[in-house]
Amino acid sequence: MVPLEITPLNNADWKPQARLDKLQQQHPNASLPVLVIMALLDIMKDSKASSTFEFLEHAKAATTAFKQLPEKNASMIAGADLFLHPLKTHSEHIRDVEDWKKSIFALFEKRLAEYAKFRERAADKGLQFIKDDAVILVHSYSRAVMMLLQKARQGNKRFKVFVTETRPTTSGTKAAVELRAANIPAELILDAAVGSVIDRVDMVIVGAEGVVQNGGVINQIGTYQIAVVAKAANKPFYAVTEQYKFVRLFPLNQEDLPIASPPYFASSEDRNTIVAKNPQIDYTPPRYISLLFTNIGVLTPSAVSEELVKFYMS
Amino acid sequence: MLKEINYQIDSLVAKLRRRQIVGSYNVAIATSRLLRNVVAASRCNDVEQLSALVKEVGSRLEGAQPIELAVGNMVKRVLHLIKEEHNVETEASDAAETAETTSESDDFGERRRNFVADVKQSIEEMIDELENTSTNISNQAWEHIHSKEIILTVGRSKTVEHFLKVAAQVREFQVIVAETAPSYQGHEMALALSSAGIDTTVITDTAIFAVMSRVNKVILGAHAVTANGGVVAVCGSQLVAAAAKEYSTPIVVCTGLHKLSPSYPYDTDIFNLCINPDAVYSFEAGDIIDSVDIVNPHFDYVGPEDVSLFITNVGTHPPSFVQRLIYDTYIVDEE
Amino acid sequence: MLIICGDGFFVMASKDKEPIRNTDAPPRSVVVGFDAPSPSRSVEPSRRPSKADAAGIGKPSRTSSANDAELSAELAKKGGEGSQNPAKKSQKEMTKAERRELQERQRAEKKAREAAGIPKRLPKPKQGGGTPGQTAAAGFAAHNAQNSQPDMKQPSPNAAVLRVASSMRLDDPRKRSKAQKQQPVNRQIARKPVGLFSHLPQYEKHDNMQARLKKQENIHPAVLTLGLRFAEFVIAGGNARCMAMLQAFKKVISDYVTPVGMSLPRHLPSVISKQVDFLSNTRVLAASMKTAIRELKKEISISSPDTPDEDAKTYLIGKIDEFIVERIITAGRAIAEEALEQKKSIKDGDVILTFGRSSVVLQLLLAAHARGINFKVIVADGRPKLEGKEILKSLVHAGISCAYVFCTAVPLLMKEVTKVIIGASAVLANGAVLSRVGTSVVCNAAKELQVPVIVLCESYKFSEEVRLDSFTWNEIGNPDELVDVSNRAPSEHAFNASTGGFQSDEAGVIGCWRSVDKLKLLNLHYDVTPAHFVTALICEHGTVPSTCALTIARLAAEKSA
Repeated sequence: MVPLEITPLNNADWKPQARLDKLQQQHPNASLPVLVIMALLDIMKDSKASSTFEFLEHAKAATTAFKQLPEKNASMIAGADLFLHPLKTHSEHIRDVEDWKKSIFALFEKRLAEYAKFRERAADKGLQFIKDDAVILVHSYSRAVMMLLQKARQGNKRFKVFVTETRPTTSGTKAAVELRAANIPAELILDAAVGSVIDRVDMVIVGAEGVVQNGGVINQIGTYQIAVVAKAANKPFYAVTEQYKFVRLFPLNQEDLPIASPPYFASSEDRNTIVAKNPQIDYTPPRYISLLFTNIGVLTPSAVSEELVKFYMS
Repeated sequence: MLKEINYQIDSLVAKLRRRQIVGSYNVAIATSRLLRNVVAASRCNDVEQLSALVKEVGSRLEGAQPIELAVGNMVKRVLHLIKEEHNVETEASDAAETAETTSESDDFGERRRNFVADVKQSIEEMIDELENTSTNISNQAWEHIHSKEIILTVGRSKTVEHFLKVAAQVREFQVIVAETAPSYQGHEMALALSSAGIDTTVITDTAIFAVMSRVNKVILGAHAVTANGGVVAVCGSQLVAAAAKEYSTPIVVCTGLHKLSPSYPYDTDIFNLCINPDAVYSFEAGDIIDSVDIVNPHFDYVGPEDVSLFITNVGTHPPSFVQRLIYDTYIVDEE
Repeated sequence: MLIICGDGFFVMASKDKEPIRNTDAPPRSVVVGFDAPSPSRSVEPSRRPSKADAAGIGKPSRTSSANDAELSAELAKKGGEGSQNPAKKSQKEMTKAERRELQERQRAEKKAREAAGIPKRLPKPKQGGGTPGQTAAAGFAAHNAQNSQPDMKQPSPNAAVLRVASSMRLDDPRKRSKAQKQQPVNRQIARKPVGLFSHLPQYEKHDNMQARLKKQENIHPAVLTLGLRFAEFVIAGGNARCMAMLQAFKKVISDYVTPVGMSLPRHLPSVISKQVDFLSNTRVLAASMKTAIRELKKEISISSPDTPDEDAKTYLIGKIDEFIVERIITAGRAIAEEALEQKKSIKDGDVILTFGRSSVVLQLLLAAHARGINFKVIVADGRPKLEGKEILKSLVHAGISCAYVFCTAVPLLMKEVTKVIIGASAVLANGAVLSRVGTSVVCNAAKELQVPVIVLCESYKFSEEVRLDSFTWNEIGNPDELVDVSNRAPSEHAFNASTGGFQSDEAGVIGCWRSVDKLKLLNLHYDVTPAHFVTALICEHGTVPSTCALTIARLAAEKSA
């Protein structure tokens, strides 16, 4: 049932991908869920809704637009849900819509300021796990992991790092370069070479694009494989992640995720002769994860589930 | 060949096809006796002809009932015996030739008759070994079962039954038997064991995981043992193996050598036999029978990683040793 | 001063500071934990005889054993109530040395008692706390200890005797008969119980429940009928039993008349308790029923005594209806919704394996089919109840393509299965799932091949208890059910009997099991599936890993409160 006086939605202005790209340029260090919240905030500030109900409807429509973006789905959902949550919980007993909107916007500004500190806090929580002479395996380029390693180096700890190449994005190469620049001895290895180095490694640390409801982690392709190898070799597997990456998804297995699979080959000629499958992310079940370093503390996967449950039920 | 031998072969083929002879032991005994008669009555001149004859008879028998792997096993053993006897004889004759000159024809005939007699002798020994399988296995019982143990077994295996009965003379222990619906072989086993004075409890198959936390040992019989050390056993064994893995309970398989088969389980389903589904959901029971698929498998395959020990009539071996046993007992590299 | 006791051993009381004590007791310095006396304390000799009299030492005309026995008897009599009091009164007046003396004497007395084979001083019976059964049993045990000293087992001198209700001590034959006396129904204990489960009640099946009732007037006829239905498995399954029980309780409440001089909030719970006691004797209570009873009693107790009875009764009946609708019916629907949201649990092309009969699972499968999702179902079943046949019929009539197997065939088919969906009787605090026996077997087979296992369970079945395996608690059913090898479900038996067609009970080989001494049959009803077999738990509040069941239940309770 549609109410009589409804303010039309200006869908055309949203352009979710474009907004995100622009915001990423402005805030290169911010995580994707935070950017999603920023983008949604901008959109909703332009909204002409005159009642809380309409406002909520607009917000829901806008978040759906973001959730439908083909890539980086977990982060979109995380950011979108985080945006909607205070709207839903604070939408009762409202007298003045404009006042309410102002308070909501103020709440978000405050939160965004807090979110900026989450990564550092999460990195701090992981520092005690890096001991002198540790050999660490990291996968791909994760800002949180980089921050953790750099902090450890600044704390004068001696350790060595193996970085996987992470094809096809080769973000691992970028990570290795950066680590060397920070005076951390880092060696680049092939993604397929993890099994051969795992015995020399003391622990594995990865970042996360999303942390799912059962405490599992969604991350760059290859993470699950490394986790299985680490478990077989009895090495601890840690994930560094901020709280805004917790997302209400419950994948039962790899197929349950909406995984984007962009073409692997650049040239169309190659694409015609060879069929390639190029999933960008994979899902690591909680039983392979020893601990998660988050800004709210060092958590086990089951503690993460409890946090998520508490957050969404309160 | 003699008409009588042909008749015997035909008769055994028919019985196998109609599953009138069932079970590895029965099948092995019947096959071995038949092959002994075939060898004894043969008029072959040399080892190739004898082998070819045995192979031909063997392939007819195997074709009658492929699921009874014991047939093929016995045939391959006989072939192995023939070749061994031939090797022994050739060595002896080589040694003799270098020593003295021999007169050709008489000795040749005699050698051939001796050769056949030797082969027949070996087959007789093999049959003896077969008949004593159960005893030889059970003699090791007291080493493997200790007092106040709780043992789990599945279905009905005469080997295991004998094993436990002999152990009960020396030790005091309890047995839990899973009933293996819908054949309910477990019921017969339980009755046999308890009548022999062993404290026996019958459980349903559904309770296998539930009781596994208290079980000290699992003892299974086998229908056949594959070349990699896996076991084809009664349906329900895979459930037991999975539960035992969870609780790290050792699984011991009691089997005679005649069940060792040189085939590899490249597809575990190939060893299975789906029998009459009426036992699961009876035809009279309802209107929905047409629209429902009913599966009633007879066997299960348990991989070598789940089996801790094989107790055979020639001793105890880990699954990794099975390949060696097979190599020693059978001709493996055949065309 | 010399005190000569009957059998001639001497107790020296010297004029120095050594107090009187039984020479059997170890010297003071040896007793652990006893602080050395300070020489500055003075001992008042005049007090000693009175304390000695009170303690019973120093009656020279008795023999030591008779002395001890009488001493013990006196102490035992004072046991429950009085023995604390004389000590308490005088402790305030005593000096430190005197208190020490008393302590030593009491220790000596304890040693004497234990030597005679009587347990330590009995504790006061619990007041108020614990279930009615437990306090009664504790009192029972105390009473028993006083009267039958020669029978009691000799506890080791330093062991504390653990007080446990008789209903939990069924492996002790003496306690078993005591537990029997407390039950409202005369049930015959199984003649051939299984040793591994001797801590659980094992009963023979009996036909006429009503005839075995000890006091019939307290049980409402609706509850009597219900009990019979439970015992015959006509009504089975957590939700069905709970709803039937609540409907019966509605009748009980509406027929209830408060006796003169009592108030409804005080008396009605005891009436309900009696009905519950009876029902728990027909079949063990399910976790769902326990929650419902707890909520009902809570509602009754918080109702004000001032409200007129009729209003209170109407309110309670309304609350019961609300519970049924909200926590059972709506919850079931919500679970199906949650499971089908975004095709989470059932997608096109899925092959779903389920075990036994769960109302929620059936609801989900029918809902998925109604939405046009294309999937197949394999129903695994287990003896002797063969409940899977019920669910199979419903699915086939709805037009879903199905297969049916016994649980032994599950490993063979598991490679075709995409998901395993099961129901639960209860979800335990550690994330383990208590369900029909056979569920753990199916989940184990699923885990071997990494097939995800989804448990559907309403939140009112979440329990605070923890069980490590299927032995600590279980329901032992009628062993004779294993004898029948016709593979027909109980419902089919009834059908056959009415047509008078062919034999309904096809006794198998072990029909003679009672006559074979060493043969026992075990018919378990439940088993515990460990938490690491379960991938996801779907309740009406959402999808969670099964270890979070309690958290989500508590949060939901807080939210609604």
